[in-house]
Amino acid sequence: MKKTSEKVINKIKKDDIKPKPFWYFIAFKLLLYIISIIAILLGGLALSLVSYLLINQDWSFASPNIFYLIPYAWLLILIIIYFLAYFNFKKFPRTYKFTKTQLLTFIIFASILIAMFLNSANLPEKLHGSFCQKSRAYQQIFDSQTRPWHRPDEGFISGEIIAIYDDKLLLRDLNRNNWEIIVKKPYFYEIGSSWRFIGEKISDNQFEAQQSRPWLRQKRR
Amino acid sequence: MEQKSDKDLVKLSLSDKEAFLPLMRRYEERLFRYILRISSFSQEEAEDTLQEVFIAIYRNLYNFDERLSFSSWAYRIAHNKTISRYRFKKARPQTVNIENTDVNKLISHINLEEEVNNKILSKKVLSILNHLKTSHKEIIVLKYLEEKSYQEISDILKKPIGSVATNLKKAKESFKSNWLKNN
Repeated sequence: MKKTSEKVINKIKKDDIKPKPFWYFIAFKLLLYIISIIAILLGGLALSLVSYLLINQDWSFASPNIFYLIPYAWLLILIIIYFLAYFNFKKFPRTYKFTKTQLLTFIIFASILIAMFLNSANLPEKLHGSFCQKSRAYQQIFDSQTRPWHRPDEGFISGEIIAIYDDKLLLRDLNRNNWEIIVKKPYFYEIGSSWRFIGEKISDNQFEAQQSRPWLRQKRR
Repeated sequence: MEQKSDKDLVKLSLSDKEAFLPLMRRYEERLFRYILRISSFSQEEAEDTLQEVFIAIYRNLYNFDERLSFSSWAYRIAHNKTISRYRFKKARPQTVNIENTDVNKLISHINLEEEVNNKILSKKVLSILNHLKTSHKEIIVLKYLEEKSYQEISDILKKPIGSVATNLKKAKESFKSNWLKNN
């Protein structure tokens, strides 16, 4: 037993074992810092988008099922980022001194500050608008404002009015399909405006509207 | 060399391999005993583990955080290497290697009324310790057999001090309730 230290020193000498270089540990710590900063920034961005989508949701209109109005995709991403940030923070040399609650509170608080800053610069609105314009897939997955209004089978449809006739409207929906919308007062609408309709699907391209409301803001269609 | 502090020896070891020898000598008995206490290893396995521990310490000398005591850092590496070995062997430790004197020390700390002065009672204590959750067993070994402070246990197990205190309380309660059941 007493010879363990001698055996080890002989092995170190014989195999020319050397300490890992100083830069190796510095690089590892630097990587941890970079990942942490990115995670906090992304957390702030995801939180700003979640809050933007929730705050700007039109909760008042006889809306579809309320659960459709929650931005699940961004919420899921936010939770994943928080967990990644948490596990990354746990790898710092001294963070074991803090409890899970303390670490998560710090991460969430830091992301709230960043989200507030991003919101004050209107960045979430610009980003969300830009993503929606560039990617239909993004819009379908992430846009909790318009997505619930693209379920004609369940009586919800929205889009841009592209023509007006005596007894109906021609609407281009989120998937760029054209629909004939039967309404009582077609003259009430304007070409180029975006509207939401609650009603009933009559055929593959016909929808009878019972209620309608314009989009509050200019939509990205 | 023998009078130098652990931290000085760590610094010297970075440029002079020989300086690592007195550092190992200071800790080899303590770490060997600790490995045996938290594992079911034979003497040979424990010695192999200890060698791995010293090599790991040497390889990671630049990563030693001077805000920690060298002792806590060495115990942490010994703890991690021992746990890795269990996993490698795909077997959790089943028995603890502790001596009768250790058993008496443990009993007095856990405030059990009985005098443990014979082998039968010692066996009972060992049996209870072996049936505790690994985390409870580890913390009892560190606190009462290795006689580490809460701060040192926190540094070794990488847990907040509050959690160390809570876990130790639970471990003691678990030990006591098992003791009462068996008596």
